Amino acid sequence: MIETIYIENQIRHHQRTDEILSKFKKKIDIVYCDHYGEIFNIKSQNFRIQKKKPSLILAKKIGKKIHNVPNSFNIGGKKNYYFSHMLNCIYDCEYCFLQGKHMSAHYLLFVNYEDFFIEIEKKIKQNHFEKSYFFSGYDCDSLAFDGITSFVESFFPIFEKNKNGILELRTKSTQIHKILKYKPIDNCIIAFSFTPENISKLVEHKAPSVKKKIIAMKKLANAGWKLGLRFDPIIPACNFAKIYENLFKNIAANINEKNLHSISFGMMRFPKKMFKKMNKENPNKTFFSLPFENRKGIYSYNKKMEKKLENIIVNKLIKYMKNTPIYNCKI
Amino acid sequence: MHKTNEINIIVAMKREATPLINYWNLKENSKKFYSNKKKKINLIISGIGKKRAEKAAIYLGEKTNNNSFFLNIGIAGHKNYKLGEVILISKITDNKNKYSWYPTLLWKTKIKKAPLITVVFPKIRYTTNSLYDMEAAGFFKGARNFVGPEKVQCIKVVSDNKDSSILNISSKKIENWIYSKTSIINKLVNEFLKV
Repeated sequence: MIETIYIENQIRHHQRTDEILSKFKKKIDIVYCDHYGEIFNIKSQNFRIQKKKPSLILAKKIGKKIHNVPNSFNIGGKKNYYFSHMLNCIYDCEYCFLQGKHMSAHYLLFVNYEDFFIEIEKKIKQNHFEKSYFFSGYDCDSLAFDGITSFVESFFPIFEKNKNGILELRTKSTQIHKILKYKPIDNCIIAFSFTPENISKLVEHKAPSVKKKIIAMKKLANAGWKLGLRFDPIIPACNFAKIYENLFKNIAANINEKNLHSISFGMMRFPKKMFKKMNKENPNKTFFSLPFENRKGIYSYNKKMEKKLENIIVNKLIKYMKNTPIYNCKI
Repeated sequence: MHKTNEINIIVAMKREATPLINYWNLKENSKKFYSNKKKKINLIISGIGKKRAEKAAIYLGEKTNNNSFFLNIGIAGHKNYKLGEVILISKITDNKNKYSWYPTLLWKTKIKKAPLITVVFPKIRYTTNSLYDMEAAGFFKGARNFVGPEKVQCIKVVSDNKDSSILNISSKKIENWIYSKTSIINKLVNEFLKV
């Protein structure tokens, strides 16, 4: 429950600021600031303490809004970008890189969506001979906070009219009612992140269960939406092959493959600095006892283990969803 | 995460400190420095002004565990707030250099929250909707050398407003205002120590 909202002075009269504030029925404390960095970027903040009760920061995104995605992270396109209208997430997944990426656990929301639209449309025009892929779930879960951000009703129309742009909305949320108000948009992919139920229960705090996500996917599939399956990160656990097979089997039994746009998976991977920060703040988490090794500044499983897990995942996926393209997000 | 060990409280004046010293049964260790080892509360009377508050915070920071909590308690003026009203500070701005500090607000409390401006001289005219004091910015500067924004907080009791200027403040009134809020302050302190 958000009780404090920090607002940059430059957007205190922005229409979207007013709209967002009107969604808070309970009394909230508003604190004005000159720049979000005064709160968000302060050193010596404790992410874990703040995560117990994050505040919301409303700000204006200055500078570049669209960023290139590494070549190996794609779902079939060559022009891949990500954008972050929001930083941080309402869920608390122990493996999430956000806890090592930012100084703060507060939710930082950039309200100048229109500036994002301009850059998105510019990129689409630049790449007019091929599709441009835009990923929205790198620094937040775009759907989980949609009740406050109105991400769906703001960003979907941009892609509805720009068919050469593909939007991937990656989520663990089941708050799909706003999506269902739209007719399916061919170039918008609703991609759900999964880990097997027993792992999810242990490490994906506050996130919906596998069962609930499958129900949400089913509703979207029935309405005609294109779906994505994301198994990223792949997490080694007891009975690894069996629990992942059960997950794939469960999804395949409920979702018709014709609704699946793509499947992607990836191993856990963290830049060195991020890995060290997460390790320091979460010394008791079992993750950090996994056989990570430093490969050119990125911490991930050792090569032997990675190869073994990859083989299992690909084989099991093909067994249950053989017609859907599978992408391996490799470092 | 280390468990918080101690709370370091900085107040400017003896009159502000007396009700707190009595409430928490603090013993005088040395001149202007009081503590209750069992309750893990330290209190120092810094004197008036941000430099003194900064020095006092640094003194306690160096003397105590590196995971201590820091709290500034004192009086402040506000245009409209009622005399004796207790406020948890949400933003502290140093009026001289305009630098602002934002204590992280994690606490379960119904206490009103408001921004504060630290000034060098007492304020007679209240030109903004903020509280005015003379120590908080210095206190924050000192305390933040030791801990993050979750562990530095500031509580003020309103001592003057547009209807009752600083000229009406007396030592007895200060003591009474703080005295009447000791139980609320104690509840907040217990919240702080849950971090």
